[in-house]
Amino acid sequence: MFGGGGYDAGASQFAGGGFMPTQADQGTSPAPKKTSSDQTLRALTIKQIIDGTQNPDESQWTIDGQELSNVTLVGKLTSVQEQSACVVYQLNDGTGSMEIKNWIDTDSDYDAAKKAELRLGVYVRVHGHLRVFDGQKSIVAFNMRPITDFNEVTYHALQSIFQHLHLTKGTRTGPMGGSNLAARPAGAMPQSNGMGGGPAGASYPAATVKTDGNRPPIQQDILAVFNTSNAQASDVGTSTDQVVGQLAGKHSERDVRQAVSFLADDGAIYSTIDDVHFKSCEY
Amino acid sequence: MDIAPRVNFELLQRYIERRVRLVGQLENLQGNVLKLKTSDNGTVNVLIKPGAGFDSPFIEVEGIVESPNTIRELDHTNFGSSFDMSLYNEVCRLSNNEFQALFS
Repeated sequence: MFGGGGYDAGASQFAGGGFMPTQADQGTSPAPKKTSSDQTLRALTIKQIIDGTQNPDESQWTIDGQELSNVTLVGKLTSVQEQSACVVYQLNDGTGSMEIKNWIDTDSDYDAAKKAELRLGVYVRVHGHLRVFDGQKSIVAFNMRPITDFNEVTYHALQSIFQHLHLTKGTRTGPMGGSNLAARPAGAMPQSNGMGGGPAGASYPAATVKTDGNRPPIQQDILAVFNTSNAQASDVGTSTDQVVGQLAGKHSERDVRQAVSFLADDGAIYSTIDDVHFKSCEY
Repeated sequence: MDIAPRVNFELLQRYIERRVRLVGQLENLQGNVLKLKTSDNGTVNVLIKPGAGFDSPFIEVEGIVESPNTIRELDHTNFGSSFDMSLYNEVCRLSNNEFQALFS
């Protein structure tokens, strides 16, 4: 979702424009060490950028605890000023105003055609880098294009909210948790798990299983057996026969076997030494 | 004045004499009054600037709220003929409530 889609979009921008991202930073600060977060593309409102904080030791701009690299904004051009080698725009998205610098090749027909489209009052999507110089923020754009389907305005606002939530609260837990799991990029883990989903170091499947109160009683009873500390401590886990024995009188053997098989298929438990011994995925 | 919250009809009254952005569906245009249906199915009168072109079914108006159902236009953008108003209504709701900190 966020990491995957965002990164791809960024990559395609690079490919399309033939732009070298490090160029914009030359001379302003020493190149920071490259980590995976340097590759991200954040969808933001201008207010979020203005409200961001500067990391004192790394001189990097940080929003929602994550350093900014590439950003994408959607807004309306409220000022257009042509200079010799670049065009300076003011972009307003209703949350604030931001200076956008777009370097252009004056000999390129392509750049001239692009420039002609970017008139005053036009809604645009911008991809670029944030640059902070003397406390003044501006975006050095590597792509700007007019918006033609205005649902993109809606989409951008929702994507900004989604990414903010993703970075501040983590993935949603509960019945939907499992499906979000795969979408979570390792590099995008928040510093604090705002959902309170278990102790530090707990894996995400744990949070998913723990908060899943929607399982039928028999499955909850079986998971309780697998989650006892004895069962957790054992390397081989618990056999289906043991579970049947423990739940005798409460659930029929047939129902228990069916439910154990369901839980294994569902990923709540996993088989250990053979296909009748299981451990809970919760720890 | 850089901030102009996105509003629907219900939110309009919060921003009297303030600048807002409102997307609506064109109902009719008589003289200098443009009637727009908002994303939450209210009707707003927009006092338009002379000579402005309104040539699409969906229009975004940026302007000053004069009364709970009147906006004085400062600028507008034609938003085309295909725009999801119910989803946009959610943006209005979220950006003025839970996630206001991101927007205004």
